[in-house]
Amino acid sequence: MTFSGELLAFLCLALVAVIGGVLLLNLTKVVHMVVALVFTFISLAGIYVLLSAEFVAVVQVLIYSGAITIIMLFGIMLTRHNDTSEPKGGALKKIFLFLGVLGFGVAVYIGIYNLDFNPQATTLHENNTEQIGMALYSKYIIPFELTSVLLLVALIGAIILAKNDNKKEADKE
Amino acid sequence: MENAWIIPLFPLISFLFLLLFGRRLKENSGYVGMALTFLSLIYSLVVLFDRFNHPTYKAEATWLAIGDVQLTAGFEVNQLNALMLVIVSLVSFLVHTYSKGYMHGDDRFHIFYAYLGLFTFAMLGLVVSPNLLQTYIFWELVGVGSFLLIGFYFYKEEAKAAAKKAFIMTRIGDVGLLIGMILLFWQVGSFEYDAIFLAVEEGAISAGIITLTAILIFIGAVGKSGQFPLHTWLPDAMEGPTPVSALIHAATMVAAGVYLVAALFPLFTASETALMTVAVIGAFTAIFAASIGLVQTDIKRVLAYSTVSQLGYMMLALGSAGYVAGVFHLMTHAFFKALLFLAAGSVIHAVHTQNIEEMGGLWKKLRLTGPLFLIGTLAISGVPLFSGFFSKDEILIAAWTNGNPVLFWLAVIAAFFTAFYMFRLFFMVFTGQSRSEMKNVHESPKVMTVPMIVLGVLAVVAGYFNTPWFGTFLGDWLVEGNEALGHGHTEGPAWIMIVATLVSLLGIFLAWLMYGKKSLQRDWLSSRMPITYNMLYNKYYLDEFYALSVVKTTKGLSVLLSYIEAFVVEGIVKGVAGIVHGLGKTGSKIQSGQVQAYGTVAFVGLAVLVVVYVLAGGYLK
Amino acid sequence: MDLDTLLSFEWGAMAPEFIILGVATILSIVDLFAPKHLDRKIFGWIGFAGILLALASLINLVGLGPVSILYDTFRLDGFAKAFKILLLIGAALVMLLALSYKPKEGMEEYKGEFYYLLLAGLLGAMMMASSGDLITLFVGLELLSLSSYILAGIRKKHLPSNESAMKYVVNGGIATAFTLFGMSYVYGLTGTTNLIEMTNVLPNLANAQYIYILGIAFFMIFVGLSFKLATAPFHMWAPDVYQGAPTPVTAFLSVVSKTAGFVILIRILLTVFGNAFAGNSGVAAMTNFLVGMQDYIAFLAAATMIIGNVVALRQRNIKRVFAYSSIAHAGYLLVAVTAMSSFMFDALWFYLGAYLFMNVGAFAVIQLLTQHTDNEDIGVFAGLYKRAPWLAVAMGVFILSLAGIPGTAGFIGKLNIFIGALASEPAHYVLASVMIATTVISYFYYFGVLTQMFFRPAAEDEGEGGKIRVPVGLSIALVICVVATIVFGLFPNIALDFFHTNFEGFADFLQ
Repeated sequence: MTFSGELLAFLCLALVAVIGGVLLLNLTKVVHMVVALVFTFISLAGIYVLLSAEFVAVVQVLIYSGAITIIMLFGIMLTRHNDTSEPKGGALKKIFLFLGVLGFGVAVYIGIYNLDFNPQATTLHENNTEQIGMALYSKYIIPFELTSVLLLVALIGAIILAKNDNKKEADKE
Repeated sequence: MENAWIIPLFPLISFLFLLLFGRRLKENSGYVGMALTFLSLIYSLVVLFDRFNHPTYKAEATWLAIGDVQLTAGFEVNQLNALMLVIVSLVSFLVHTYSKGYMHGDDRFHIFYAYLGLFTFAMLGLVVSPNLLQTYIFWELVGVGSFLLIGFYFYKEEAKAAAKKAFIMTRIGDVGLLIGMILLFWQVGSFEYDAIFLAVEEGAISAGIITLTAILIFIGAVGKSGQFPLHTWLPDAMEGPTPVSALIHAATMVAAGVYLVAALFPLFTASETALMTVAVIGAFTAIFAASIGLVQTDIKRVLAYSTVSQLGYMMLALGSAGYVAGVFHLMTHAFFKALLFLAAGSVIHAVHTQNIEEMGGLWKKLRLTGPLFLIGTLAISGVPLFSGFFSKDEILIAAWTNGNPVLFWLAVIAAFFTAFYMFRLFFMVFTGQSRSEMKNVHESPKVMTVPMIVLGVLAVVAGYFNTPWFGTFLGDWLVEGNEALGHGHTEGPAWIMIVATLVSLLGIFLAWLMYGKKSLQRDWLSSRMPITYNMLYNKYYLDEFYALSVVKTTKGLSVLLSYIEAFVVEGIVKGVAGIVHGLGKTGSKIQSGQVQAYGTVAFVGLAVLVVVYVLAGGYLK
Repeated sequence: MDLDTLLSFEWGAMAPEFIILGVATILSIVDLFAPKHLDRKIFGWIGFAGILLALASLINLVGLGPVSILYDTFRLDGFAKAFKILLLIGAALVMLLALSYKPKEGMEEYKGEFYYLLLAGLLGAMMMASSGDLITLFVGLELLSLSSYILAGIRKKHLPSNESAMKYVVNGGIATAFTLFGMSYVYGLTGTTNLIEMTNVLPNLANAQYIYILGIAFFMIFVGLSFKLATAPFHMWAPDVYQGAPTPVTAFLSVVSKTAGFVILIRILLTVFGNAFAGNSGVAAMTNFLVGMQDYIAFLAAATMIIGNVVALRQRNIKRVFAYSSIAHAGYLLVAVTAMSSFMFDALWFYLGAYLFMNVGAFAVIQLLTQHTDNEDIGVFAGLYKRAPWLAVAMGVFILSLAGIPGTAGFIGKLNIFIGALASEPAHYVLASVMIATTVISYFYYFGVLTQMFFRPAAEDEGEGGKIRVPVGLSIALVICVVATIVFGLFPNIALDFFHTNFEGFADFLQ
């Protein structure tokens, strides 16, 4: 492994992402959690850029850091935003979980450490967005269309769960 | 014979018909059941006579194909099947008839008949099965039928418990059967009896596997036939209606275990160890159950223990390579035990109690039941000229000639016990004074007595199909064309017959001394037989001696054995159940309802898998 | 790609999916504009008809050779057809259940939504069955999951229903993360999402490290998918969700969703991992990747069977009992997956089919008994035989079949799996023994229900509950289930012959 600027950037971004995640779990105020989440989102977007996936990076910023965070903040504003989550769970569970994380981490690390993929694609960054679009609307048209059904279902579900449904109101309409 | 498959269908039709229309038919359902089982009986007889002149018939069709494995379904009529068909359909028909009177007035009358039909169907189906798988299926179905019938009086807490116990205990045995069956299948590649025997004959299966499978299958038989240590369900099963006890827990279903061993006899003979196991378990059960029977006071429980003991006899016979003796005793036992149960039912019907301490002096009041019960008692005690004498004699000869004197003498002692407790029962119920207020004691209606008379006749004559005096037709016919089953008749030393007779007479005599004589002065018996009375009177000290030495010790022993049964055997069963329940408790405790916990378990599970993978694969450098 | 190429595909092969999609869309639009007072029950019948239509068109396609559309993002092979038949039948039966579902509170307003969400879930399940591309498979999986989450929580005013939906979503999210993570590794190793291409690439991977990563990917995908199957270690959500969700949804989860889970598992397992490293001499002990993994699957199968059956003993809530029973059945199915015998497909297909009928049937009865009172204690079965003998007999058949008593479809299914476990090389004796032992344990709780029905007197204060009226939809479902359970128990060859003649043992699985 050679030390390069790319590596440095990756390390910084990864560190921020991980710290954001850990903070999200450990902070007690909801708003703080969201901010921690934003850190993670943005550093992930940075990592996408490093991987020559500009389109995904932009989408990441747009959707996650932008839209989703905003909606979350709205949600917090409209509900009891003073809520603090209470730490729970026994020590035993935490130990198990820690060992699990450790074991899993080590196992994955063994796998990817010094992993070497010989042929590197060199044209990924050229017309990145166009390539994605081409694939999406030709080769992957079926899953793409299916995704629209998925979104429709999600929409309906959201309406069902969110709708204020008092019998009287329904009658009034 | 080509249409023998139709025999089990009649009771099935009865079952379905009564299930659908029984409610409307009310007590007329009895006639439907009777008519249809009668058809079965007639056809069974036709098949039996047909079988005398024709070779074994077998027909089957592919039922299920799994991969290259073809499983078949069909039916077979060989000697054993044909005989069993007649026994089952006959007893079933008689019990159907009898129940018409016994169950009179029960508001679930039609359901009772429907269940009887289901059971008879299953039992007949079991008997005609040409392969192990089909046998197993009907074997389970028989268990279901038995479960339903034992629990028929479900409003009684005991009946419910008994039904459950019976089902679970026999299932423990069934697991053994299933594993044995699968192992055999694995080795032979077929469930067909013929194919299995062929493979055994050709030595295609290793000796160890033969022994293992034979013993596993025997475990199934142990469960079904109430052999030690899985016998505890059978006495409890007496909570069912008495005709059910006669049909299922005396004549047919419990004999299925014996039948199974007989049907797979060539497999068992191929392994000394397996045969020995069968013989030892059988002999032990015979004496064990008989000794418990000595102290029981419930009329049906005495009979139940005697059933267990007699089944042990059959197993002993089979284990001693006495194929004919075992099957022969199965047949005679079916008749006289069914008779005894039906007669007991008639008694219960008359006096509305099952406690023999409360009975007595019924001989005069039950003019028909009394003598019939006596016939059954004589038959089971092995008194000469009655059927049980011949079949028991065969068993003793088989045990002796097989070269195991210990088992032989165990069987002899068990025979003594049998004679003793059966006559104790007889004397306590039918002679002496009534020990409690008995009102309205009257003989049962014709519909109940006629089946008993038929069985009474059979309990006498059934023995003559196979006697050393007039010829061994049954034995010769049973083993015809199949050397693997042994000889039709084995010559034994003449003294065995004498010993057997003496032993049973001794038992009867002792019982009479203790339970019959006690009331001699007051009873009519004393005045009619003064000579006997005086003779016995002079031997009073002997009487005391017997009472002290023999009876007291055996009584002590039987109490001890009852305790073993109550604490050790049941304890083990309960222990296993307890462990399972404990596991369940822990399992539901982890199930706390916390979402995080579920995710944690899943993730930790994944991590453990991966870590094990790393370690086992040697990837950790 | 121009229009001509697009039109050159055999879109007819997708007819069943189009029908389901069309019906769902139409229903949702009509629901929007239809007057408020219109009884949404009619939607259910339309949905039912749509499923039947899709089933008919699918059967019409049975004779067709394998069809591949757009680089296998949709493929219709024997495997897909066989399992889609099960999915459609299962969904049709669940629809019948849903039509008769009238809980005390909280469903009326969303009847319409309920039906088309069910159809959407079905569509997702069908896509999981007939695709040869990881992306489509994943989107199908998510479509099914998402629909299920909402369905589970559709009784908004019913607290347990809310709780169940919440738990389902959270756990589902974790599972999806696992699966996707695993899939991404596989993609990284092979550079493609197409399953067939992966099959061709993977055997050439010689690097031990790649194989190692493939192993980790395997575990992640397996554990992630075990969420859908409700097998260990991802089984714990099932009892809570099954209990809280509306009963038809519970039936849907335990039948359609589980079947879909097994379908996608088999598809990925056999195509991606099944061919890896066969005969690669460069790597030690790697004759076949899946053979190396058999022990792990076997362990999970055994754990699942034990947990499911043992914990079920302690339950009093009938839906929880059936949740654990459902876990246990998934364990039996995993035994077939472990064995990978030559007739694994037959065994799985038959068992899933048998399970479909007996389980939907059982849930139909449970639904009928619990919906009035909102009482889900096992005691609702008390004296059922007195109150409604036919219902009790039907339930008896289902219970016996679930317990694996001969004469029922459940027995044949277990027998298939069992023989498969012994007939494979090497034979899995231990696993087969565990299966038998746990089956015996299961008798205790199954017969507990039977005892309740036949041997317990009915509770005295049965006001309107005393007489049980069986709605039309439910009785159709019940009759179908009873008949199928018995017929396939007595004449299993009807189903197996159909299977063999039409799908030829899935010879086209890898083409």
